[in-house]
Amino acid sequence: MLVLSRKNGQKIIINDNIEITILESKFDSCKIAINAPKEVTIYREEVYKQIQFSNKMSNKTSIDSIDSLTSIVEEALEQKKKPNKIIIKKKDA
Amino acid sequence: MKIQTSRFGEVEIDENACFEMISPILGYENEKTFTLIVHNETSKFQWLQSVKTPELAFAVTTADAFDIDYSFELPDSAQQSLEIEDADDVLALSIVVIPHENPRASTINLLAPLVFNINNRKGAQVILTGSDFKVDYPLFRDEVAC
Repeated sequence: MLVLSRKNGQKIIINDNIEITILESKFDSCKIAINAPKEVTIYREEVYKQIQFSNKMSNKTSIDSIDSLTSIVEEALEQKKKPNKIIIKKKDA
Repeated sequence: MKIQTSRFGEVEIDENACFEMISPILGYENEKTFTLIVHNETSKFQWLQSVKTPELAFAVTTADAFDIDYSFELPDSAQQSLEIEDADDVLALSIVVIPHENPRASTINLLAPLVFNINNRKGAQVILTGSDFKVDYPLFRDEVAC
């Protein structure tokens, strides 16, 4: 791994077409600007990790789980179809 | 072509109906080829099954099936790499997480949909950066989870 020291305002160029600028760095945070071609994908690591974790959880799904979820969904749809309870008050004769 | 799966046993699939991931399902970078398996005729869920790894399958569905108001602009990078020219080329699926002990707490990943070009069969998990979509949006919202 390459480790570089940069001052505020200094840049790093990667691959002739990606430019990273250290805008501001103080205490434990730093603001950076990235100029890259449209096809380059850039993500915050935590978002990436969150999606990875979610994908892993989905792969744990069993047939039983989908079966029970399918019946919950069907029940919910049935419930929607039913009319609300209608109460008619009869007048005393 | 026959493939082995841990959930469904041996399954006959159409090779031409497989999808090639040109941008991976995060965490599964070495898994390139997947096929869709219908759970059953009435279910809103499908399985995205790996052709190579019997135990690898994701539960997937569409946001539409759950009346979720969901539309997104496909990033240019994805549009280019998937060679998408028309909205009709696109199949967008969302991965679902179903907690085994409490299926009512199931969630759908709206932040990183699986986008496929149904013509060239290329696919990608696309991260919608800059959106407010959640990775764990609840499937059931109006009712209290039991």
